[in-house]
Amino acid sequence: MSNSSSGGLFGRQHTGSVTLVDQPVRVQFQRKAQLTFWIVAIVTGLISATVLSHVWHPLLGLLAGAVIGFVLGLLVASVVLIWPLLRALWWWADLITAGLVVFLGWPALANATNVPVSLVVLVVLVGVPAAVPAIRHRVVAIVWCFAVRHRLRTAFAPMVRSGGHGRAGSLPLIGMAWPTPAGERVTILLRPGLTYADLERQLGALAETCRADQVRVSRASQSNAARVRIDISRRDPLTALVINPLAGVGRGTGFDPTIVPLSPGMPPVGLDLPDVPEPADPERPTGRVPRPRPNGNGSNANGGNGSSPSGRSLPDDPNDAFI
Amino acid sequence: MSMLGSAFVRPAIPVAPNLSIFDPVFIGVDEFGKPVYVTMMYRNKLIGGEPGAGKSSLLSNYLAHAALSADCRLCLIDGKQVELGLWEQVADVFVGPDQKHAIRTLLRVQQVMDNRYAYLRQHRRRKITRDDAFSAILIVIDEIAYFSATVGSKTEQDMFSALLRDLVARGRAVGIIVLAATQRPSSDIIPTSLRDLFAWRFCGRTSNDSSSDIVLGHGWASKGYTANSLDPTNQGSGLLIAEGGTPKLVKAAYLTDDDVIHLADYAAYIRRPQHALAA
Repeated sequence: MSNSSSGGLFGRQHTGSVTLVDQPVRVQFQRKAQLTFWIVAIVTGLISATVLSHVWHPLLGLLAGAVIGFVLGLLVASVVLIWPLLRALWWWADLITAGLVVFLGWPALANATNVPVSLVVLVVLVGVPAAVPAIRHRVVAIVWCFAVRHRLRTAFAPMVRSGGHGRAGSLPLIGMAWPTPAGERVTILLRPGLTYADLERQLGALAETCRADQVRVSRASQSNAARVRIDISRRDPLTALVINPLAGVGRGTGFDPTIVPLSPGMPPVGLDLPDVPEPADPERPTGRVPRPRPNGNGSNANGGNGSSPSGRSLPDDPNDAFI
Repeated sequence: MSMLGSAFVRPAIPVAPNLSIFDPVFIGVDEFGKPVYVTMMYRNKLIGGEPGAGKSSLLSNYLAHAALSADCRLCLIDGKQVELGLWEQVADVFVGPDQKHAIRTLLRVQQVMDNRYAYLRQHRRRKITRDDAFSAILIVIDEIAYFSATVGSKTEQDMFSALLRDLVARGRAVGIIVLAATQRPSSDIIPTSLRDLFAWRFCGRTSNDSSSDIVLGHGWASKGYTANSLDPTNQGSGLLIAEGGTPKLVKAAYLTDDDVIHLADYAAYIRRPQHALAA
């Protein structure tokens, strides 16, 4: 249970030591175990002594009650003391199980069959999911669902420790993770020590810990503020084009679009910069199509280089421009 | 005999595809691949996002549904002309880059709104229903900033904003719906009192978290819901928030220009009784 110590450029790790239970947690549960021992020992001892005193001699009953209280208190306190270790083992039960299957399953298979059959089974079990994209993606998604619960717990631990909520807090209960097209969705139940606001402030850290592009949090229940939904996004699932089904309405019905009248046509004039003079009032450009005014020599006075690109003259009445 | 014969003549007026503005509008799919339907009636909507974010794609979805709904009239206000101009054939009013025309149109709709409220009050009712004789009116404004902060005098801009705010605030119950799009609805573009009235908001890609929060509402970026993180090349994707809910990642459905023109023509065709188009 020792911690690694830093040193050198990258820090020096004590190989062979893994921190299963943090020191503050260990101390906390030691206190809990002591308290539990005394409470259980006294309560069960008194009850046992009272009951046994009616059957045996009172002194003998008192002595037997003390022994029973001591033993039961010791048992319960032991469970409390190692509870962080049991909890850690439970958290890693899925990976431990997977490891046992891999490291024990292969020798068992090899012993039960000959080498060609073992290889065929191995190739089928590994090769088919690897070769079929749909299966491969599904397997990877499920693996991420297992992994992300551990990563979330890893991310929550320092938040709880540094939360500044007074007493030592508890990690949230992490529910099942489900694959989504974007990544995973996990529902957690917050407990004292970590708040919804803490999660909102740590979204970046959560995303980095989960190796994700983005993490979003939202309330999972309108009646229970402790239930929080965490959406982990690894990819954009909305890259495909979505066609509106209304696009097919009216097609193939013999509908003739030529019977629908169009707006009056507009001649292609005033479409280039030389065709549009600077407005008289620069504060309020009208943007209207100008009426070219021929100058003395018959050229267009709108711009320096030119006449209308269409080469057409505009009518005197502006309304006539819309024919 | 002639009357009997005319009963078997193919009707000159085509039958509409039974869409109604009261029906939910398909606008795209969410991040789980589920179709997203949005109710149009009684709900005003705001669309924001940087240029190229897909605002027009989303507008087209709403407009296609509304145009094919015979119980909805369209007032289209588009300073750029070409985004909503494709639907001009099916609109009752189309306003281009003309501030005064836009104000006159809003005044006209405001009068209709007041008349409808007077009608409902006389009939001891609170809102119109699907069975009412008069149609819903959908006011679509593309690039609202053009009219509220760019063209016209300050008085005209304020008047445009005030009229629009009145329609957004009071129009829902009488079937007057406002669908507005702009790039960044900050307070210097449209009044905050107007922006906050839009309960349904879609935010396409934005250039920063602040712009995303301006569209969706304050604080969503800090919860991870920011349109700044959207892929700028993925047009049409954005965050949709509906009446106090949680933003939902949505990809707007797409209609090509050819589809839009076809639908606009077809909608004009099935609306012939209302518009008396020449055959």
